[in-house]
Amino acid sequence: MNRFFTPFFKTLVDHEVTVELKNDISIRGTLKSVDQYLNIKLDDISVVEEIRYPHLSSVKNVFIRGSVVRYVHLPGAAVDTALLEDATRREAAQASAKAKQG
Amino acid sequence: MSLNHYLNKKVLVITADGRTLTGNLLSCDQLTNIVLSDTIERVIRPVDDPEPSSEASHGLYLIRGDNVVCCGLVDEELDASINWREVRGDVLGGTKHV
Repeated sequence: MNRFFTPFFKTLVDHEVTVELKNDISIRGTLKSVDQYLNIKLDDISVVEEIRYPHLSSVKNVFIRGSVVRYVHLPGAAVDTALLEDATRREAAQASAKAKQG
Repeated sequence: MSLNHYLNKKVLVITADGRTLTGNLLSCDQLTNIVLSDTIERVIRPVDDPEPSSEASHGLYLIRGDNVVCCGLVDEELDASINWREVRGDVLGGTKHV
């Protein structure tokens, strides 16, 4: 699965994204890198509702563990959804071809 | 990738149970296991809590990877300009909902 999503996220590097964590904090920042676990690195971060969550006030760059991410809000304009659908169908077609072989 | 760029720098780690720890990042690995030296826990309390926010020293800490939520690079100048004992904020929730 990640050989699909990791490259997808890599196309969004240097875009602004908002990452919502499972502890309800949302962090907005510039996407700098993504790895196989979907760990995310953000630059120039700001916490949404910083008044409630001042904990990260002195932090500008952050590493977020992939396992605690609930959502990533993407910049719609930067995502080619048709391409994504295509890639997903191709993936599904390959998977079912493999299943028939096996 | 990974946390290697933050090695030997001051970092702030938020854990799965909602604690906030700062310290020098001594070591890290693929699973986000983290070793911090001179660890200080920041206890930030809500506005309506009669107790003041506080800091507690813990020394050397190893945080198991699955308890790490995020690890931020601390801007030391900015950090030093903040009196964390006066900062008020919500108690952070956990990331494990069981």
